[in-house]
Amino acid sequence: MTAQRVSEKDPIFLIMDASPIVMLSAIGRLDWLLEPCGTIWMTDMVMEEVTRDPESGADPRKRWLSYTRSWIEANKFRIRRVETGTYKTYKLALDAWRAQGADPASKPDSHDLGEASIIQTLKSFRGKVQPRQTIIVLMDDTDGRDALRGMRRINLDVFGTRTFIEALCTHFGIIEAEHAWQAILNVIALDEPKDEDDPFLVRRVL
Amino acid sequence: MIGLQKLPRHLDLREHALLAEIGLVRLEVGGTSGLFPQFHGLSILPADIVGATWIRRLFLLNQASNSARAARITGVHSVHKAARAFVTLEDIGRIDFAGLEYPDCKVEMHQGIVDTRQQPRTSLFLCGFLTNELNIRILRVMTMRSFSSLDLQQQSGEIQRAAAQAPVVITSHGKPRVVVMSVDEFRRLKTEAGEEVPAEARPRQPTVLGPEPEDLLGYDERDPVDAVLHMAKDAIGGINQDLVRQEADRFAKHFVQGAK
Repeated sequence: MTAQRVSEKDPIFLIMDASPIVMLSAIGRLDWLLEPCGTIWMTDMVMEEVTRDPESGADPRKRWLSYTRSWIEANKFRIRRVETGTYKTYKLALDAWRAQGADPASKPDSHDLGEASIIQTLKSFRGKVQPRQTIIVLMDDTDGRDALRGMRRINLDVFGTRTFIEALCTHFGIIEAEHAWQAILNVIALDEPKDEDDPFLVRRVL
Repeated sequence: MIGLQKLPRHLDLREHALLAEIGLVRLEVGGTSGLFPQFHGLSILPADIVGATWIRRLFLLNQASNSARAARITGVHSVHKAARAFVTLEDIGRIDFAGLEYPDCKVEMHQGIVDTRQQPRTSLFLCGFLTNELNIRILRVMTMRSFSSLDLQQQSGEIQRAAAQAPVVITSHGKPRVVVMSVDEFRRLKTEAGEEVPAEARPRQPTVLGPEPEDLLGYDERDPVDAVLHMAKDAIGGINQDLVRQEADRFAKHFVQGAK
């Protein structure tokens, strides 16, 4: 796992949960993620989850997957990927599983890998962040937030998507963010059933 | 004024009591007081104990009830006999007890020097107090080492080890400037003085991780669609909106200079 050395004292805006990306993708507003500081950090697990092909045809992410991919490609110099051993291990297991015929009964378990990668992700920042630099984490999952709050030896501040959108509206001049939740609800409520085969159960949103 | 001749010359402080004192820091033995025994002598300490820096307390007893007020002790140095050092009242001869108030049991601090053969430069820091009821003079003795400010740079480890045993004086140009002491000793002095022990010097409390307060803005994502719906409905319905606003202000402070 690696994280690029940070030279600025600006906070690091780290996306450790797929839900904000999926929700903003659904309403075509991923650019909002760059509003706070122009650069975001994203774990390899989140990046993989939001860009991979859904294994189920019913997965609603298909409708905005191309937008998500193209946005990430277009902003690849503004998105820093944080690699974790957890993801590498899982990917190896998944590749081996596919090579052996992809028997659904023996599919690698991805439960709780999101939380498991938290420690590795944050450890990768040790020694690379400035002493007074803070890592701002976007995380909605309750268990993930709990795990993050247990990391007491690194400057962390944890926020959810609700807080992020509220801040966009009240502090970053994104007036239309006021209507973001209604738009998200409209999109989600119209969607098909969720995908039961998602290998990233911890991360997945839709 | 009553001279030394009216005081018992060799009040025995039994060795086991002394060892108990050393081990427990606080001596608790029998006697009419319930705390200190009515010794009819003065402490007799093994030489190796006298010479060691870990002597914490030396208890001296003055049985002559009326002598304490005027017990201005002068001049005699320590007596060494073979392997044992007999510390008598004479050993603390340079101590000025004028500050003691009798019979109010008031604690006073005194400083004196005992010239022992093992550690000729050892100074003793004496804390004495007087009790009228028991006619006991209790002296707290700690060997107090002295280091120069140069030593402070070159022997910081040794100074810390010495300070763990007893307060250490740091001198500058021959004058005492700073006292270094263990946190335990600092706490004890603060407590005895009736002053609050600063938080930095308090013993660290064990970390007990209890249940965290409910995370009102976290969502159970085991069912991701349900989580998003729940989140969106909460946002539209203004559930916990005050908390969201507070967090939004905090979020903005990280990125926007002057954010409220």
